[in-house]
Amino acid sequence: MVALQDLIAGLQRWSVTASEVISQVGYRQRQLTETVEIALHRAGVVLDRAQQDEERVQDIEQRTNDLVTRCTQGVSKAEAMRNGCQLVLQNAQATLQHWQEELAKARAWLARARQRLEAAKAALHQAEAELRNAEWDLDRAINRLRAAQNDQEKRSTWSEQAAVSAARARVAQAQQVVIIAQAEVRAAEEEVARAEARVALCERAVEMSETAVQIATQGVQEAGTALNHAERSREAALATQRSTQRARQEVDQEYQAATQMMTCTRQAQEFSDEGRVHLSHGENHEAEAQMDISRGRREVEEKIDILHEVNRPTLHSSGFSGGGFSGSSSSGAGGSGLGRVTGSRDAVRFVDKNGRSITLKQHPNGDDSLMLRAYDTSNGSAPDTPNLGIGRANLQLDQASGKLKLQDIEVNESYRGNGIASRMLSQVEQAGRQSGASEIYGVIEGEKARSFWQAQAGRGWRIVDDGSYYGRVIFNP
Amino acid sequence: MNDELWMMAQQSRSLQELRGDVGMVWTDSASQHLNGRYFDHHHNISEAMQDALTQRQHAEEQAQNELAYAAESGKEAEAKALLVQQLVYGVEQDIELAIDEYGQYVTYEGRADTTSRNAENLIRQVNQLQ
Repeated sequence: MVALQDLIAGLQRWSVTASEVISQVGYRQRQLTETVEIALHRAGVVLDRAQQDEERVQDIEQRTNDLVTRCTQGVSKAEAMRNGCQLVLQNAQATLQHWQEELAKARAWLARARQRLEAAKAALHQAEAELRNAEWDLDRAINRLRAAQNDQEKRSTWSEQAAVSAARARVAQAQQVVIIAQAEVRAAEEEVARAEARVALCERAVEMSETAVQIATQGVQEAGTALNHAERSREAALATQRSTQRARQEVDQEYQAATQMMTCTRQAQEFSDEGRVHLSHGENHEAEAQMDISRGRREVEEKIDILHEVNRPTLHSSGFSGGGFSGSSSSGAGGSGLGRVTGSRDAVRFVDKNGRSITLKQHPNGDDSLMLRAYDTSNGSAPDTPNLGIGRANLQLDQASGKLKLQDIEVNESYRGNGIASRMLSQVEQAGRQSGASEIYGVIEGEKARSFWQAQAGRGWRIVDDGSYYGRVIFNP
Repeated sequence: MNDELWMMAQQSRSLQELRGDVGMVWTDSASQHLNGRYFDHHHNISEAMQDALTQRQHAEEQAQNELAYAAESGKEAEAKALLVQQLVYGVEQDIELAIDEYGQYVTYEGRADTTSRNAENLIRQVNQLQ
């Protein structure tokens, strides 16, 4: 009957554990689904941004290429402009030189014309003096002729007349010379005027040419400045092009990483969906298994009832009543059962070596069974119903023998070595004392468990076996 | 194996041991009927459930791996995005500089063109003097 009751308890534990596991796994699956959905959203955001970045880079690529083309053409045009301005300057300089030479020639001509004028004037003076002398000689010849004509003694005046004629001829000749000299003076004066006009024109031309040279020089400087700016704009555009090429590489990598992120996340979604399908299968299997448990348990309980009927006198004599466990195995008084005796649901809290808040809580399961659970309550409170927790111990009352069976005691690996099992064991011992059980016993399996129980010898736990893999541990409350 | 699956496996194993204990003391036809009708089936379906949960766990681990890869790729993409943002900002600055220099070039080229034409006109006027 003990074995059957153990089987009932085992079925019940399996049932509770399966429900808890399915619940926990379902919770994790929902968490996974949510995580995947969030990751998908985030991957979408990252991919969108990568696409926007790609478009921005494409835009600046276009703008940069246009700019480089425009600036390069600008440099060519600026060079052509500078060359053109230099040609204009050379032309202006040549013009200036030409007119400077013309001015020099004009000035030389003016000097010659002025010399000619001076010479003409001097010749005119001389001619006029010659004319005055000739006229004076004529007057004297005429006077001598008149004197000779008046002289009675003079028979002939032929010589005086000849002298007058000669004098008149000289006067006429002198007059001719004066006329010629006057013409020369007028001619010289005209030449001087022409030369002066030429000089003035040349001076104006030189002045204008000098202005042209100045303006052309300014043009060359401006063209040089334009070329400098064009070259700087081309350098900046080329620097921009280099940075853009780098941005292109980086944005390609960004897009690749974003795509990879999306691919991995979609893959995760597929795995998550696959997990959901497996969970659904697991839930269906669990429901089916629970049905088997329920039906099987009913038949085992019927079997136990039959055995109860057969063994009723023995049970009563052992001090058990109503299927429960009395407060003291020796008292024989009406039993209250393990659940009621140890039914205090007060939680025990303590902080483990890693600073985590641990709560121990008892969950009675009927009169004969007690589930002790340890919970990490660092971030919350312990549940009212038994969940898996981070540590578990299950006690089952063996009604026939009045002993308590410690069916298991275990702590999750990540919480081991913090005294949790030891505190749970204290609760087990306390439950044993409160229930009045004569003995608490359990089965140990493996060297690790054996080491644990050996360490509990100081508090009254004894290992009773032959040292094989399986052993038995006993505690007398 | 995570805690839940480990716990489930433990309970299943424990249940099979208990069945073994019962089988040693209860061997009548009723026991055979019980085992045949419920517990053997339960054992099989329990294993199927654990297989399903194990496969789900495996799928979750693969999903978590993919999410980890995705997170790494996301970090890389974000780092690259930051770099691209900086580069694009720098490029925008350089473009403004280039455009400003180009504008200066256009201004001075216009001036040089006008000045040069003035000089040419003046030379033409000079050359018309005789």
